[in-house]
Amino acid sequence: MKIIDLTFDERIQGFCATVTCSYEWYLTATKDAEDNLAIQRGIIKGTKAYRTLRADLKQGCVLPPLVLAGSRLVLPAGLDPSDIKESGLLLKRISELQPTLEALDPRDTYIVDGLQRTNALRQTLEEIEDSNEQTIFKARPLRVEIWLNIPFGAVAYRMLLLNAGQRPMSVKHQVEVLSMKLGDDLGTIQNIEIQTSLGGQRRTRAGQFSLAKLSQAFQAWLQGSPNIDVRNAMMEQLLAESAIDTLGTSLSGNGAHDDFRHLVEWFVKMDTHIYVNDSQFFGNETVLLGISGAVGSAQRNETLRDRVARCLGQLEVLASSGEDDPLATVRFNELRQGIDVKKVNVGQFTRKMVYGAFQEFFLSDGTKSMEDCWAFGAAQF
Amino acid sequence: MRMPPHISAALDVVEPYSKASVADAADLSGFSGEVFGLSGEEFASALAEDRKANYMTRRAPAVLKNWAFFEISSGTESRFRALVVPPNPSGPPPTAAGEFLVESWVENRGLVVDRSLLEDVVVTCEESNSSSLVFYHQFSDAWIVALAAFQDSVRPPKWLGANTIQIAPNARLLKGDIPELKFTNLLIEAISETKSKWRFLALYRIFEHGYLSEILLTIQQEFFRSPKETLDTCRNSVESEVRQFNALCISSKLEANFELFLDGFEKAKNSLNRYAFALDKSLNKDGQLGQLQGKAAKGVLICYKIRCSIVHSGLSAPIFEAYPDAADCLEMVLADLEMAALAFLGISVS
Repeated sequence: MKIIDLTFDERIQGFCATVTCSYEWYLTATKDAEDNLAIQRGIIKGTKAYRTLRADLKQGCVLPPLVLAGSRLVLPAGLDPSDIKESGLLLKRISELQPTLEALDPRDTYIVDGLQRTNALRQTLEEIEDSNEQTIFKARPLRVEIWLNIPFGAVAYRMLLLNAGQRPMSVKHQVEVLSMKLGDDLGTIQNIEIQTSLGGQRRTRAGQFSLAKLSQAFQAWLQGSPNIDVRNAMMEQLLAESAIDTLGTSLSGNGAHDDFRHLVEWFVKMDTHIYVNDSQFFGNETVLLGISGAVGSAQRNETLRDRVARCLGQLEVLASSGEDDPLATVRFNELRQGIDVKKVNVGQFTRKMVYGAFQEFFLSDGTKSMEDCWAFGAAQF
Repeated sequence: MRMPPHISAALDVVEPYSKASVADAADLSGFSGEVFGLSGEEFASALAEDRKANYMTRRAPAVLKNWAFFEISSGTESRFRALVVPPNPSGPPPTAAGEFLVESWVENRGLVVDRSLLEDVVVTCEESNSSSLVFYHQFSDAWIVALAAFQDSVRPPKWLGANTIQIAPNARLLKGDIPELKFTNLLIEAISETKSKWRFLALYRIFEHGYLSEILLTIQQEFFRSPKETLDTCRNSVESEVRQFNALCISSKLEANFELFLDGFEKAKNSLNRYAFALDKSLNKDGQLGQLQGKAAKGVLICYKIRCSIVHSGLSAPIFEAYPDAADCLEMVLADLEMAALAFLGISVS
């Protein structure tokens, strides 16, 4: 592996190294990086296009550059964006960075663009039986861009933007790819415990959230909508653009902050307060989707953005003051129990009710009680 | 928990199959949500259901825009369920329908192909020990065709919005003690009619058949107590259709239904419906209204008169077709007649 260039992205405030490497180096650096939830199934099924790609790879085709993001990298001391403008200093920084990237740890490596190509490489290598041919294959060159220590939001933004004009990777698909990095990023929230899918664990205390549900909540937040299974291509495009807007807004401003992380912090705090009376509320995927969609939608609105922080803060204060039912979950559960399951889909109803209730709460700037907001949300269906 | 190979493969779940592991697998794979609109837990619960039932899937008799699910019960026992999967559904099925689909999928692997449900089909389930299966299938087909015919209508029949059809254990509909009276056929005909005047007539025929069964019942029950009086009463009834109808209304406890029917008719009059006015005038001229006691009896008479106006073309009532707003008047009373007919047959809908 050899670093051939180092650049700085002013938009997302992150360094990007362009490297050439062998297939072997790349596959080692990304070992298990695609080991991710439902995505793996999508890869394994395969398509004609990727069967064709594997055949082309055996014949020595050149792949377009792949894009990775590396975290917890030890960067050269004093590395500054201005360094890359002076060629002498740039070369020095590149040579200082070389050992760091050579030792890239797959546990801290995320594939931003090129999941299917990575899998095609891996499968092709497995299919080659002759050891000489394997050696030749592994030595073939590849160009890779590696983003250095950029925050999760920036990775997501860059990835969505990359894929916005391309087909057919859906927003849902992309979010699933990002989920391991998301889990990493959110794992540092105080009192949170993120459960991975393979554990199959049930919630036994406040603050426990499954990674899959948090990923879906992230998608709902990005899209500003609780409905994440969108099959209409035009709608999918609009939602992707909306998601880019949300992330873009989140990255801008004085001190880029991660709005979604703050929302999850709020989930953990509120869950801690209400768990003793209602342990299921924040464990309910549709609740997380509904709230995340409402918050995401409101945060991209200049007028409502401040209200979101105020309203969520208000609920937190209410919960901290010892209020028994700060989110009026008793009323929420009553409304759900009244559903006619022969006429209505419970999940869809709950998502819309939660979304509608929190939208109303934000619009009223917290002057309406949660009880009234739940009733409002239920009436929307 | 039963776990056919096609389901374990789809969920990528391995033994041992517990409800928790299946729920997790269903959630993880997104399968339960995408295909059935269910959470993993709901999916696993549906899979754990072990009904002794016969599940079938066939082409839907009509194309619907939305999901349609209903259940026929007798007492507390479910006898028959039917769900229409529309082409290109715009949203997930109702939860009970999703659970029903999971149960069906156990028996019919072809219901799901490549993470998608077969579309434009009707999935049915008949409990193994239930009789009247032929009727249930005919009824569900007629119901689906009617749903399709009325799906863009502003005033569909009231019963079409129902999901549960409760047949009383001793319901007249399925009694079959008088083989000549085919209430099941009459109900299916009434459901199938989309034009309001023919639907009115089809519903009325259910009551006409009822008169005869009431007369026979009176003879059977009362004859040996007082033969002459019984025969006189019955002859009297047979000679006057209105009296028969009224007697039926009382014996079948349909007074409340026909009071509502009268209210609907009064509403039509108040909205200056010309047909309603003409009918009212005809009744007053005949003096028939004055002879009757009670609101229900008046409702019965008006129902009879509307029937005459459709059938007899002016001999005993205004000509239905002569009034452009006659169908509007019918729309205001049809729902109550439908409910009365269903109640008469021993059916309630919700």
